Amino acid sequence: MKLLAITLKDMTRSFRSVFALAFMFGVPLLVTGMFYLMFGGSVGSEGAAFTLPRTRVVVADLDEGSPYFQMDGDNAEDLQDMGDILTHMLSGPQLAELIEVTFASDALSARAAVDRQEAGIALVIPANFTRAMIEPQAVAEVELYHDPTLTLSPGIVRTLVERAIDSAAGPKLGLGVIVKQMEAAGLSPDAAQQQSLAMRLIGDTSGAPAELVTLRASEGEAPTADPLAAMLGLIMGGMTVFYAFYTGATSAQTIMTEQEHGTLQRLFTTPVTIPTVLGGKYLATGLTVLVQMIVLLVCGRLIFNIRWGALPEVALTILGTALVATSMGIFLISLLKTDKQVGMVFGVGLTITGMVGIFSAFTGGAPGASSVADRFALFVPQGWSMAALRAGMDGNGLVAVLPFFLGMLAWSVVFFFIGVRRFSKRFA
Amino acid sequence: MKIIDLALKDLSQILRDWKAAVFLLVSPIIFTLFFGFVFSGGGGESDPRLPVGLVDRDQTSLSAALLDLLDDSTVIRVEAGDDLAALERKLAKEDLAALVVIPAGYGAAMQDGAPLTLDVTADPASNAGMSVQNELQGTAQRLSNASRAAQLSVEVLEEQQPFASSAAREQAFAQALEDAIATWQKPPVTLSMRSSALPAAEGEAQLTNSYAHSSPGMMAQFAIAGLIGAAEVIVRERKTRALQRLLTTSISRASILAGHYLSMFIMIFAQFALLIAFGQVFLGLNYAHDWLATLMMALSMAAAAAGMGLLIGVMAKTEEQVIMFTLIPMFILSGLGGAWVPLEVMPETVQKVAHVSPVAWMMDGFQNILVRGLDWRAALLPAGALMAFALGFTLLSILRFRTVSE
Amino acid sequence: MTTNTSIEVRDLKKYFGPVKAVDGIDFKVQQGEIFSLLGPNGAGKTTTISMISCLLQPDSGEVLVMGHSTRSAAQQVKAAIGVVPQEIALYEDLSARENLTFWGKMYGMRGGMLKQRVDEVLELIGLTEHAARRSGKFSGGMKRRLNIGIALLHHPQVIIMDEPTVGIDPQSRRSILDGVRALNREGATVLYTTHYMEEAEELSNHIAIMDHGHLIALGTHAELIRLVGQQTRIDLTLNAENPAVLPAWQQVDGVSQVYAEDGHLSVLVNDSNAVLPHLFEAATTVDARITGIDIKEPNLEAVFLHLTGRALRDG
Ligand SMILES: Nc1ncnc2c1ncn2[C@@H]1O[C@H](COP(=O)(O)OP(=O)(O)OP(=O)(O)O)[C@@H](O)[C@H]1O
Ligand SMILES: [Mg+2]
Repeated sequence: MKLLAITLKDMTRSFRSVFALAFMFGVPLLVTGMFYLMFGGSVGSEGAAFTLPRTRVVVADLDEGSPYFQMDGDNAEDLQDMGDILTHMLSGPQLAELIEVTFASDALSARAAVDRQEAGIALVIPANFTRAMIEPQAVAEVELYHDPTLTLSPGIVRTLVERAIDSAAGPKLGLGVIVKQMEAAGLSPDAAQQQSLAMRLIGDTSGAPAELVTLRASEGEAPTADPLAAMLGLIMGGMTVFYAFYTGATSAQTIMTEQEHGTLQRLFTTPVTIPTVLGGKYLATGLTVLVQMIVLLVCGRLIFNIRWGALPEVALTILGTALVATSMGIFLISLLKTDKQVGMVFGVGLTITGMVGIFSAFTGGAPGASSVADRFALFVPQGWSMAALRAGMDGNGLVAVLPFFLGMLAWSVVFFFIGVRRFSKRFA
Repeated sequence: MKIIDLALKDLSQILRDWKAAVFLLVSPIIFTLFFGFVFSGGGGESDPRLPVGLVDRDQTSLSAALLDLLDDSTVIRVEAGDDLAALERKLAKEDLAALVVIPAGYGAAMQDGAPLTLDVTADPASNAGMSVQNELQGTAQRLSNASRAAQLSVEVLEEQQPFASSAAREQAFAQALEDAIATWQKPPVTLSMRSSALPAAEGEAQLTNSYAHSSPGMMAQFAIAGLIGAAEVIVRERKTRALQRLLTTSISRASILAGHYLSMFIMIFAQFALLIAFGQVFLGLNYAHDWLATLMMALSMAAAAAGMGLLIGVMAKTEEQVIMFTLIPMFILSGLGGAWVPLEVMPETVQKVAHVSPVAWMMDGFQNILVRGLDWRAALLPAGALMAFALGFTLLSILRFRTVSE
Repeated sequence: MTTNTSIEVRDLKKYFGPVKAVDGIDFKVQQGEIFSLLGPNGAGKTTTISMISCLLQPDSGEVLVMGHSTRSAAQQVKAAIGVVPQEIALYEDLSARENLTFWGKMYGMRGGMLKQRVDEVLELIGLTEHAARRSGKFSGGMKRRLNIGIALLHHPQVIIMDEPTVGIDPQSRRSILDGVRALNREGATVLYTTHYMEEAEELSNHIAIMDHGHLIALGTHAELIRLVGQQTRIDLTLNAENPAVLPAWQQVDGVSQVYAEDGHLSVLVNDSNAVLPHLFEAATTVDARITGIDIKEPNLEAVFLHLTGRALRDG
């Protein structure tokens, strides 16, 4: 059959082109590999996902202590006051993976270190820090001065410091409450009594704080055994979808290059019809995308240990993507008048729609970003393909994948008819 | 001057396709808005706090106190309800960042000194989930402290004089708890956050900040994307043997390269100028705060990108290769350089490696200007690094071009 | 039409905007003959061929190939013809054999028949040894030969060749022309465009001369030559420019036309032997010295010149 001969010829040519192969298989694997090195490779051990970089914190501990506050004389680290305890905690081994503490002699030089970008955060512990924790009327303000380009680490350090302040201030606050209640009941506790109450409160709050929250994964987001694989799955999936559409377009582009090289015109001097030529191209493109996706997904499974979900769901996603990527390729090419516009429209046109479509692969973490990105993504066909892939990965069953498959089918039909109409007109 | 004639010829070839030119301006704008929107949390809601659904199965003074404390949170916004299923649906639609259930017996257990845990449902991998978890842990800790104080206060009172009834005892506890919660709302030591950021209106701060990242990021990425058209001109010149023809005229190889370089530089700089103006006027970004610094960055990045375009043009043999040689570095350099996701959230090794990408330097420079509010001196290092890239790319191009004989 | 007409072109027109590429031409190509379309660049040869091979729709007029109209029976026409395009059109990333096989399938051939025919054509175009090489790596002449071979695969009844010999070395050109003649002997009708007049002279039964979209002459070689009479052209070179010499020669008995062209002067005469001495005499009377003489027997060039007043520029 002539149609199949055209298909076979096109596929032979594209698999013979080093360029096409590099684009189809090399780049997606390369990019995923890059992310693997960026996020996972540096960690190494049992796929412990992202480790945030350590934040440099410069501490100016100006705390002067309080006469009412005495540490046990025999503490090894020679801690004198609450400020010392706080800095001791911050520079302790538990937090060593998160922050790196250095010291400054005063607030000014601490802030200057941040301004010089030698540290991300300056923490200024005021002179009356201990007193505010101990003496009834004293209040103090700890200053956290940070580099404005940082968005995550200041929040983390803030949480750490606030926890510490909370537990340090707990006894004072508690004592205040008790004394107030006693006074309301007509009692007036003496200093010794207060001291003993304070000690009871301190005794209660010291020691590791209990876990007061249990976190469960939301429906459908089954906790993944391998979070690195899960993240890479999104990225590799995104890359697969992105480049599937590229392949669709570059394969369809052979219509343009055949026209440029005169072989298309020559084809039309032989007894083949325009639908046969377009059909052969379409089939070749579709099969190429199919092969590409299968190879990439299998590679993802073997190299990065990504779980794509059950076979029927994945098969449906691949089929839908091949259809829509091919149709979109034909459609895009039908818009072009000369071979010269190809690069621009492809490069930029496909890149834009592709980035929108697979954006969710990169926003897994950003608060609120995922839902916004997901909604935007459905404005482009790549988004539907990505959504189908994710539905399969989440293990939500065929029913969850089907709407996205139908969406892709709808896109395909529209693209196909516009594209084929335009071509038929052009060559008739 | 021949170089200028050549550059003008290039520019008219590149811009003949006006749609491509529009693309190069419109798409970075779209993406700047998109990324900015996405990273600011999106939704355009006035309240930046994370919405959290809450079901109180306990209904005691302690659970009420927890709600009180949470009202003051700067991180989460509680949406209390009774219908767990409805809230779960909202969570599934991602209208809520998390769902919290205060279990029955929560208050009693806390009074017994063996607190139950709050049941939080969220995406554990997301930042939102982490933030909610942290905030609840801290708040529950405060509640536990308050409860402990109230408990102790009741015990002390009881030691002095037993309560008339258990109701009276309850009453005393509730009173003490209320006091304790009130004092927790005014802790003796507070923490204030400050930064050296350019002053911006409070409400706008977060949104502006995210554009301050996405605007230069997308500018860099699409400067590279624009190289496709320009590099294709060079490739086509060679393919159609117009280059050989040029070489038969008195123009030197160096002048030919210089002409191409100039056209790309002008194109990218014009692209930057328009995008910077857009950022300044419509996104409230303060590029104008030090024009000299902004100019230094734009010029040096245009120089580096043009050098890259030149290299692509002399390396690629076909138009297809141009696309490959442009788009792959575009993805890798902008991804690695922090144009999409801030370098801040990447591991330290990556942050160090990142600066092999000129995009990272461009981001550094513009962050210094837009976010840190620094002046031209802070642009010196990044601009210098970009000029080094420009020089390196250009030298490589010259070396390569010398051997392009056919 | 008669049964032994392969191609019939009736009042064919094709305009590209203001350019009248083909402006009302008529001709018939008889079955089994070699028919040449001769004309300078831009005469409209390729446009005519494109309409005959169903690539372009005529603005008006009609083309019948083997009795089938290109408008209503394009598929039958296409099945009957083998087209060699002016620009090389093949898949450079496929080998010669793969190219031939693919195009053979496009002509509806398959199986062992196709394979055998591919081998035959490879032999014919002299590429048997290079059959497995990618055609992109071929020399220009080898590509041209493959370009021609593709059109011969399915034993077309009509072979349409648009300047097939451009850029081919004399030896290969010779073998291609021999090949064309051989195909013709086997019964194929050949429509051939060229601006090499020797090729047209040597090969063709009938020659049509095109210029500016019009057929300005059509006939056998002999018939066309007769248009200019038995005239011989004498090209003369002078030692120095002398405007007076032209009118002087015009007066000489037996001279039918005199003109200047490209630095030399041409004189059309019936009998060169009789006229030549008188040309020398006339030159002497106006003080001109003849430094070079070139006598050309009548050819198509002269025909074209005669009809258009311009030279047919060729290689
Ligand atoms: N697609 C087209 N669009 C516009 N003008 C065209 C087109 N094709 C041919 N022409 C014009 O029609 C005229 C005849 O062109 P054609 O290609 O038929 O000439 P030709 O005789 O084959 O010349 P050559 O010997 O150079 O191949 C020329 O003036 C050409 O510019
Ligand atoms: Mg022609």
